[in-house]
Amino acid sequence: MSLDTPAAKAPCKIALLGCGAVSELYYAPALRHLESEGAARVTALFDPDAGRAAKFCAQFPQAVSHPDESFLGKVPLDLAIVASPVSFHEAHAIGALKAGLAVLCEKPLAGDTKAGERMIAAATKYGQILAVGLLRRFYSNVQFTRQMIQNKTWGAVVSFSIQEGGSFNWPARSDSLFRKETAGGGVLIDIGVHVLDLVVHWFGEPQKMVYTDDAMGGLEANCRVELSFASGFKGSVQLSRDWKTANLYVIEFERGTLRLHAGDADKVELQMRNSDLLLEGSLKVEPGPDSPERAVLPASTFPQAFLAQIRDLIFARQTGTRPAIPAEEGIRSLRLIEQCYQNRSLMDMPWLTLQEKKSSQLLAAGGNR
Amino acid sequence: MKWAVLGASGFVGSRFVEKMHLSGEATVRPIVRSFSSLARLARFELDWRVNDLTDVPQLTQALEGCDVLLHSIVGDESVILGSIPSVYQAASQAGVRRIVYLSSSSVHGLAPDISTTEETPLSDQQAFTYNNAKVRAERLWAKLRPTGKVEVVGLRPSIVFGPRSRWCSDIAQDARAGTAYLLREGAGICNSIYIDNLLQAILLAAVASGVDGHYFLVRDRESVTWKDFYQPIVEACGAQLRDVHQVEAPEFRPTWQDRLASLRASPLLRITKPLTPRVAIRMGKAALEALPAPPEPNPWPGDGKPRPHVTAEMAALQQCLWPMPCTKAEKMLGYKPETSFSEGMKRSLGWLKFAGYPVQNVG
Repeated sequence: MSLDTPAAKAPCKIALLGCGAVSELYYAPALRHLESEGAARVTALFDPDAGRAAKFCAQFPQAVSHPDESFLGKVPLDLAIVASPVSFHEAHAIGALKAGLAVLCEKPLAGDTKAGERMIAAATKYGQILAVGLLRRFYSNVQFTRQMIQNKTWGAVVSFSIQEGGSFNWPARSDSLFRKETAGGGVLIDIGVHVLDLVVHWFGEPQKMVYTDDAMGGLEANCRVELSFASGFKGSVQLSRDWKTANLYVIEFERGTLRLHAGDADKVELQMRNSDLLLEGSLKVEPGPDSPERAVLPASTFPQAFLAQIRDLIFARQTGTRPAIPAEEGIRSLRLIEQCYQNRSLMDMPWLTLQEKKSSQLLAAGGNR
Repeated sequence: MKWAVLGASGFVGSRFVEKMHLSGEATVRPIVRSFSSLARLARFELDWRVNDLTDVPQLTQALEGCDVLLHSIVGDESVILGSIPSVYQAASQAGVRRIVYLSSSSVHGLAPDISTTEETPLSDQQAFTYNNAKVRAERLWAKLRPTGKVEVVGLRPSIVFGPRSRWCSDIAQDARAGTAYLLREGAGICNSIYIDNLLQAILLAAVASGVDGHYFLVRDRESVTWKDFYQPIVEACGAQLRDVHQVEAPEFRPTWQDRLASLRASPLLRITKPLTPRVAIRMGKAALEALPAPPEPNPWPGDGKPRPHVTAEMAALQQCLWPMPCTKAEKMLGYKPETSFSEGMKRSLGWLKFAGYPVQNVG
């Protein structure tokens, strides 16, 4: 059963914390859409840049811009969306939880797992919902993939390879994404938080990981993770914000191959073993008698998934149920990322001269040339 | 020596920054036009600047303390030409000693006449807008030079290859897709230059004396044909040279979009456009939009096998019969390329593997 639109309820009063690029490009249009449906009403905004907050206020007539976070707990609200830079996630999320709000925190959940754990503990302490914006889990092809793996439709998983990324084109408004002290990491924390979330969502926690990247005193633009799992299969993840990759997920099963293209939400490619024919198709929802009950339908597009994560949280808040992606799920990929960084070594860059390779090793190890 | 690098996130600029930073040969200050261009550079801890290149005061500040400026900006004609006057002015004010400008051998055309040298007269009425833009850029630098003290030295490489080169990645993609092609069995001259050889020329151009206002053709020491260039890439992709389509050069007729682009770029239109009434411009646009739609594709399918898509640029390049002479660079800059073509190609294939291309038997 779909409960796609939580109709006949008062609009959920929402605070948006952080009016940067992600809010401008995605949260603002999504929230305007939900307002038009009567499902939500943005009533509070916060951004340290008053000009940006004012720009957002113009889009949400009932919203009041606040100069700092102290409004939390003082104005009537149901839900907070934390879309501030990652270094503020903990403070903003805990402030909202303490104020009795359900919280949707933009990915990554926190700058490190300890901060994430403190956020989860705060959610438990204050009895509030803390969800994380790993919206790809709402994609219909992600859900289809999980069903194929869990049901062993084509047998067990034999291996997988994932390549994702391309030349960086996010409209960054400052260099904070590229400074060690503010970003917390490079491409691994940027794209990897989504990709590794899917890895643990589909395959579970790996038993062993080997991680390499190309950071030489700064932040990695390329990285590679080799993973081994308890049941014996292996996989690799290659990420880049330097060069266009194949943007392809390939999962080999005993009886065939499943391929997903990064960026597609509802398309799959299937190829049986020993066949040169490949089936390309789009997924649609066709409920059957054994279908699980859903708060929101699987998404066919990125905007649908973006809306789904907010709708899911509104539904969880209104019904007292568990959200689809609670923070406990979000912290799993964060743990993997931390393990990667703790055990990192430098990628082989075959175009470097011997002298350059020596320097690169020194810089990667934190030394000087 | 301290270098300012404009276009530091591009193919040449990023390798220059990487090599200088790792080898310690020079200190570099990358200057880029947007924050998102920092992604590749941020692998290192660097003193970067994000600048509007037409903002002279801001750019002057960014260039303070730099001895030499590498101008390696890629883009369309407005980008290529747009920044040059402000860069020259800012470099003059900041006390930069010399600008090394990365021009292109395409100022002589993609298949230049036999006996072409740096002294061969240039034309900005070529078939390719990029070539014309590079010719106009060289002329603009020459016009600006008397207005300041900063010397300008230019390099004219042709097919620059190496890590992050589109030549390598495009051929690899075509080889894997079965659409790679060669004209004249690949006998045309490629005029390749491995990127580190170009960097060597850039460093020499910064220090050589008596070269102000000069341009230099530079390439690898070997005379490389297109067949030589394709073969290692194609083989690394698991194919053979015999799998590469052998094609004849098709006749390229400019489309109305090409003609329009050429018209827009013409100096006459640039001067007269502000004088043209808006109504006339709107009517012109409406007339273009009213042109008949292109014909429907043929509903009868072919055999489904991949076919090469021969581009005008590649067709012209592969018909080049002239190994560009490096005599002037050898004599005046002391240019002797240190990396052999085969070593450069080996490193390039290594990068393809690094970047995730499924290449085989690579180092």
